[in-house]
Amino acid sequence: MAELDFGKLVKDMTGAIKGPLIDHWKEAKPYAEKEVKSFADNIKLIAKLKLAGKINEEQAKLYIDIQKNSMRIVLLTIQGLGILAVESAINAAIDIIKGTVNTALGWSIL
Amino acid sequence: MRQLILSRKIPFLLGILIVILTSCGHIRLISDYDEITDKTVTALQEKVSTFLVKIESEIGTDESKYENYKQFYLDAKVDLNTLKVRADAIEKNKIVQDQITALTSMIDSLEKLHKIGFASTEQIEALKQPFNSAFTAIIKLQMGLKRGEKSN
Repeated sequence: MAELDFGKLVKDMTGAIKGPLIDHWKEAKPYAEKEVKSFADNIKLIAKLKLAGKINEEQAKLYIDIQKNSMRIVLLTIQGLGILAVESAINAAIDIIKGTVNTALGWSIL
Repeated sequence: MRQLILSRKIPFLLGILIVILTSCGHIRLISDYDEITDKTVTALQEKVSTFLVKIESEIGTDESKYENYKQFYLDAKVDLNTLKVRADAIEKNKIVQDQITALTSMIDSLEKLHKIGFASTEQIEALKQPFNSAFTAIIKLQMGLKRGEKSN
């Protein structure tokens, strides 16, 4: 079995994940980096189990499926929290002008 | 002349846009917090955690065999179905729906692994982190939706 460079794996994955998340990277970074590191750690463990003859290819694929779906769930939470932040910002902006606009128009439209 | 008409129309159109955007009160871009989803996910997380701890202590014995855990998978599938029905019934809930689909796949893969058989505690160790991360993330989003609800 070829030697895996886990440091490079983490670096490459972090770089790839950063692209689509660039607008929210500051908030997403701690979760994304933790998830990437866990993914690499699990690949390390799978490699160790393979070397010890404790798992076969079918099992390794199932472990990777579990890891991929876990990462998907984490990234969906990052996306959801980002949407919540945008929603909160829009509503805060509306709240700021609410009184002025309602008073000026004489209607409670905001 | 055309520019003058346009410059007079822009504030009017912006005003209409603001009224349309805000006529229903606060803007809602994502679903509300759902207590049943939160409680069911937490209950499922406890079942999976108990399963992982228990089976780790049984590795190498007949007790760890899939046949002895059919009830666990049955219960987990009932919880997942409850979560799916709830998620599908709530508006603007695509993210939670996708999370439940991914969690269902994780339990399916876990069941397939169990049918093949667990031979070492390291095999269980490799399952703990992804399940913990997944449950933490789902609960974290639900908590976020709860705060969002309180602020509106």
